[in-house]
Amino acid sequence: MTNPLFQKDIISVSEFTKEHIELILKTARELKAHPRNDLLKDRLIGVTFFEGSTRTRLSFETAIHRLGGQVIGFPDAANTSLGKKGETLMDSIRIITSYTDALVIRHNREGAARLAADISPVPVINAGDGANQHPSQTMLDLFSIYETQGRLDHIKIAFVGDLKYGRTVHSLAEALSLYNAEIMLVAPDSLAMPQYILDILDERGIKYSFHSTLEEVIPEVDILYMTRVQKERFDETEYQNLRSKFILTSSMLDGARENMKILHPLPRIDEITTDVDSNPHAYYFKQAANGVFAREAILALVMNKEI
Amino acid sequence: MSENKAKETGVSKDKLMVEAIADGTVIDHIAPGQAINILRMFKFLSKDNELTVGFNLHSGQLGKKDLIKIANVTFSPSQTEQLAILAPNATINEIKDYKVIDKYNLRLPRETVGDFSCPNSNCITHIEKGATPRFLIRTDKNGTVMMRCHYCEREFTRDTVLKYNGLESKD
Repeated sequence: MTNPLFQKDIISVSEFTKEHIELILKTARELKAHPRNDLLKDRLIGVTFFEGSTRTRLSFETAIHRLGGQVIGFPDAANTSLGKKGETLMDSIRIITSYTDALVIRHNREGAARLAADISPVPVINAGDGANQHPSQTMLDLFSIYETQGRLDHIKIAFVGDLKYGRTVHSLAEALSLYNAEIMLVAPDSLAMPQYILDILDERGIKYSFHSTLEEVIPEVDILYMTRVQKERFDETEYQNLRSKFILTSSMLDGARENMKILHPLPRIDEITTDVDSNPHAYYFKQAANGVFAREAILALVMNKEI
Repeated sequence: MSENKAKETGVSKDKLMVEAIADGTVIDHIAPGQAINILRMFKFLSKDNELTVGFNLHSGQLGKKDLIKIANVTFSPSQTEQLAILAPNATINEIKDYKVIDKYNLRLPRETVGDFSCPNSNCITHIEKGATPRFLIRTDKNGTVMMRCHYCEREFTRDTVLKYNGLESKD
């Protein structure tokens, strides 16, 4: 039977059903346990990063190589015709997709991946479009939650830090709302979760609550999802004040549940101190490693009728 | 025109405050103040067609209403959809030989293509000329009309989109 993601564009988490999510996670688990180097054999994948992102690009390229595929592309737009000669994105996409079997695209403008998908004859995978969507990140987050908790249903999760601009948080909250999550939000007022995400949670009957300190939520949750509060958004005094509320140290984890794991989309700056890295609750580096398996699963499903 | 003539033509007496048109369209039951936005959106003022506009006319339904009569213009289905976003409660009367040959209420479209720019300044549609702005339209549980950009996926209230495009909603 043809899998439902075969030859489909992967642009937005909001288009995923539970069936899609579970298929991707199941495939990621299988590929982690039993690597396959034939699923992209004789396939050429365009990895086009119009905006630089080292970890995401290397993770996609690793996934393609491990599945036996080949890569063409560029790590940023500076040396492309688009960057240097003013070629339009649409023309660039038309040319690149005439060479490749699929396209991975990252762009700093929201909607760039959808535009690419609308004109591309081959499947397009969104590797991040501005502040909008980054579906493979959401899949690796869900994969890490499943791996550490053994389930996705009824997860109690706290999102901490920049909940306003953090697209990973928006997409993960939306995806977890399909699984009756209970969500705790820890953010300064100026970086609070946008109303449109809260509306989605309301529509789906998801419980959520607002908190002002990390200490309030640490003993309560299965997953502590940290994000970076960007220093440049605050003046120095305000930022120093926030540091005390939104920086996680190892000593704060004493009352945490045994199963609790700390996730972070990375890069981490100083919101998680390095003494947490060796704490058994820390999972963010393994989470990043899981990115390869989640991306392998997406690519394998998009490019193969059956696996 | 006499009252009898009005009956013959299907145009009621309270609509005779302005001169009747032989052929064209009467947009009735426009929320007060909105007619000017319709003129702006469809660029009616830059056309040569005979045009009559009424502001703040008496209306049984709305209390007050605006009204536009434009000669020799009929609305295509896509124009009707555009119009419905500005004036969702308006009524269209198509006139031929002074008679109303078609009359219908507007209905919000599910999608609008190429009519409005996206208020998100970082949306790809602002830098790619070939990307025609598109919005999916829905009414939320509070009755607010919401417009979601096909590309950047941001959802805005209709009022935000209209305001961003130099128009104003009065409904």
